[in-house]
Amino acid sequence: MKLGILLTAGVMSQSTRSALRIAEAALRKGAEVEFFLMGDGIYAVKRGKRTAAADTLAALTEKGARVALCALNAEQRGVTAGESIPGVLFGSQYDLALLIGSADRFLYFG
Amino acid sequence: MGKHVAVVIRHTPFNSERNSEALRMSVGLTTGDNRVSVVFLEDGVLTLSRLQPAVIAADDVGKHLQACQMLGIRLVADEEALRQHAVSQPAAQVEPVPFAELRRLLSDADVVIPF
Repeated sequence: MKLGILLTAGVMSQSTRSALRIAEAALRKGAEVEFFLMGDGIYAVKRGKRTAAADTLAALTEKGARVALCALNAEQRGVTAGESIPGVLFGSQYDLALLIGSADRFLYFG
Repeated sequence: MGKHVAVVIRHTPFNSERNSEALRMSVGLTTGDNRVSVVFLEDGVLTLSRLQPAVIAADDVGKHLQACQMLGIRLVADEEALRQHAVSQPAAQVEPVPFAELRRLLSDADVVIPF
């Protein structure tokens, strides 16, 4: 089972925490998990001192989750690959289109 | 054909780039062989007004609406919301439909993104 997650909420929101927890639970159950980040969801890849979102997301990628984001939104927000957790694809809306096409379940957290 | 994706727009067009991003995303979703519908509900129908975003240097949703039309994305709006918000001449070729039909469209979609 493949779970696709679109995250547009900022790192301080409950939506982001819920998305990360659901992803963690899905991975534990043996599901494949793939995130697509856009809007303020981009900030989830940026390592910082104030929130644990990037660390949690990095831990999920180590457990097999894949993460792609909209590079345009990242550029708008000044988030570069150098500041990002490892393994993130700076992609495009095409990656979201492919994710929706391939996911068995798709969830949106905004 | 891929999946039927319904993108729901229900917020006012200004104060954030949310609606503009929803439309840009809808355009992008067509690249994956998905069938895309954009559903305007509640305050979201105001996105279909004849806006002048340049006045406040906001993103132009009109160009995204045009792209949606060019790519064959179905644009539908709650006819009651259009009436309530006095959007009598929408800026795009949108289908005004009864709420019951919108409900059916959303329940038949493979993926619903309530942006």
